[in-house]
Amino acid sequence: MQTLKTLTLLLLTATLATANAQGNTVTVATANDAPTLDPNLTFSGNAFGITNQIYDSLLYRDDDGIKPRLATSWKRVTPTTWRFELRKNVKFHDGTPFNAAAVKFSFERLIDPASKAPGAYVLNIIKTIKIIDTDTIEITTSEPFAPLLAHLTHPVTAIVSPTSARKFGKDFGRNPVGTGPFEFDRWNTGNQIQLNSNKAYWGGKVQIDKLVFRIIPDIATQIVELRTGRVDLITSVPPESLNDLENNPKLAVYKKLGWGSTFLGFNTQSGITKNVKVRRAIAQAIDRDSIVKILRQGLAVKATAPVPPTVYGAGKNLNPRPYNVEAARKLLREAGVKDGTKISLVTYESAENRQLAEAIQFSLSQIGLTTSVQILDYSAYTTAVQKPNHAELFISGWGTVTLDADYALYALFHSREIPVNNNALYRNVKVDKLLLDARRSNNQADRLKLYQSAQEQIDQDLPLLALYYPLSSYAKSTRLQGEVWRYSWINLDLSNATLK
Amino acid sequence: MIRYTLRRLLSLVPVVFGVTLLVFLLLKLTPGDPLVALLGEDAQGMGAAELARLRDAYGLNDPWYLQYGRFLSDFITGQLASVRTGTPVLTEILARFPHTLLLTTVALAVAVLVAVPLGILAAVKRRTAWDAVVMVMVLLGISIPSFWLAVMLMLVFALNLGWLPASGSGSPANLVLPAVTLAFGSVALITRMTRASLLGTLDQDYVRTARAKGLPRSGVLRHALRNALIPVVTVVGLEFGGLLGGAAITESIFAWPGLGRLTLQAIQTRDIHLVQGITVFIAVLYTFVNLAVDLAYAALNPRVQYA
Repeated sequence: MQTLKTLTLLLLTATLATANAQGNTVTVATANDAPTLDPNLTFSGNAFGITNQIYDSLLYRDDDGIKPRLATSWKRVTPTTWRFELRKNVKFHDGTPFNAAAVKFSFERLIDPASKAPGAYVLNIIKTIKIIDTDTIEITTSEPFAPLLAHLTHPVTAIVSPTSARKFGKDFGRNPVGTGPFEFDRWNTGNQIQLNSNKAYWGGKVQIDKLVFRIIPDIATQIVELRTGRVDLITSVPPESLNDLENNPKLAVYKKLGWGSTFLGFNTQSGITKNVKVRRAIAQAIDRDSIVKILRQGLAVKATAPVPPTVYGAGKNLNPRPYNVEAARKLLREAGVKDGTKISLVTYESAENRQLAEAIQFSLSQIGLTTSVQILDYSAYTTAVQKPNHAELFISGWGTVTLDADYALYALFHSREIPVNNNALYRNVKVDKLLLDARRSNNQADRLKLYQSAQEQIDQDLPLLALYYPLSSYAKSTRLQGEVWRYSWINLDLSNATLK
Repeated sequence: MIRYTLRRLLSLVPVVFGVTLLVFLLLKLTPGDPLVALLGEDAQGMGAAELARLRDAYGLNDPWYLQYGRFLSDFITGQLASVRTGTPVLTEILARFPHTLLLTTVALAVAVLVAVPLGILAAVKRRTAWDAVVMVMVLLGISIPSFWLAVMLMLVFALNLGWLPASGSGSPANLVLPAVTLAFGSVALITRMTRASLLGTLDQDYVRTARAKGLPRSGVLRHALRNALIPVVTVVGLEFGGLLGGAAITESIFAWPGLGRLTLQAIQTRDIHLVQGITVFIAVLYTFVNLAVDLAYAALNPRVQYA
């Protein structure tokens, strides 16, 4: 009998009703559940998309540069010291006042080795955090670090309520408290996360009452839910559904340049790609226009530099390396590579990478190279491309989340990053120096020049060929108005959104 | 009977240890960096020093037997937590299991209610049009993959007709499509088994004798059915045990927050503790279901006795 009761209870728990998209509620579909809602202790995009609704960071990045959020102004006092004035009269959802102590608490929590925070490296450069007064804080870095402001826009640097973080300890990630436009209501693991609007939001009145993130792993199901009106926004659009969704009068589809780039990397230390002529030949053998048009069906823009133009410091007027099979063949012959030479390509499992690998395999066959393709799971791939004699070609991508060129260029091309991030195993003393100078410089005009020079040199050496910038895309019901989409769904801003 | 049950339950101990060790070693042997698997593409941008620091923090640098020992001690003391979320493994499983239990129970109940009468009909009307229709249905049920059926059901009943929600959980309406998808395959299996078993029984001597004695058709069927149901109970039990482990594909398509999806995600992110926890949970569950099936034999057939 007892067992029967327990069973009934279990079944009842499972059927307990959870709110659907109704009334003044915006429902967003996402593919994966968040591991935690503690922004300092995670490095997952699935978490950041939701923590960005609950918390604020000191700064954020918009099309025209870095803007104030919880910090109202800032100044570089010395090459290594920055002073921030903080926003006054802001309260966390639990009533705790936001102040310099909360900033110090959050940042120290992020970089404390005991926290085991995967995103600690974003602020590891910080040496000390000094509270000047309630609304002023001074940050000193261990060496001059110009991208600090950009790093402070990263969602991992969000400010958490010290009161709640201390109170809940390890369980803070399931009881999140920030200063953002929405406050946490409940979380049905694997099913949905529900937020209520923050009635006392410092940024003005939030129009919608509830924000629900529904976890729907299958993209086809997400689309059905969007079309039946049970979901108001889906955070990515697959190329094959683009037409269908665009032609639906009740829906709107947006495609925007984000922070990502997809590239073909070369092993610059071994194999035939050790020779720069071979790398240049391969670059000219690949028809990037067709890849964008046919494979990505317009959901990408042909790349012109390692990072997209949305990124501060993106290179301009680099060699376009137009598609030209004849020129490519000639270059390859000059390099002494014979017809039928074998070359290897490695990438990680995804529909996009698979198609891309096949397209490149075909392109290279046009210039007489026989490509063997290996597709691994992501973790096996990262291990593989760190070996010194790894495959000659690799397909990968990069998200410049801080939108500062340092975040991508230093990791991908500085010799100190061999082999973990610099998988091309690229080493150029000149580039190393330019990247380090740009990182340290106090002058914005200088930084831009340094990044331009670094990218010109990289473009000549060609350790990797940027193929395209995937567009960040979303589809929404036309009922939803006023949402702001910045670079990725992670930054979706619904604080001024309304429902018609 | 009690001694038999206890003996069966005791056998769980070596099963649990064997299962955990096997899963542990299999996950260790999978190529690739477990830390990167855990962080996924989010690990991008971290330097070698960062990765080394995290690997150390997660204890991934220790030899495998130390890691396994730590796992065992956490497991026995109930402190085992998901590597990805930090939540205790049991909490994670129990948050999902009611959903899977509900879906499985409803799907299997529907399947049995449809399949057993169909099987009886096919057996009794052997080599008639009825039998042919049922057997074609069975063939379709076995051949149609669940992912296809799921998408078709969703397109028709959620998108075109708008009668049912396409995904999610929370109301009985949410249950219909995933339950029908899951039931479909089981209907085929159970119908086939019922038909075959009943046909075999109807040829038995005692059935012929009963008929010769002039017992009415329904009476004969009742006697035959009781014996014919034994293999059917086995199949239903195995299906139940299997489905309780979670139907990953169906659960993913319908965004049903069950154990199957949790398992899939745990494997993909190589959340070794969660995979272990789920495996042990399913192994124990399966053992219990099997035991229940064995005990049900005795109830159905007095000749079966356990000592």
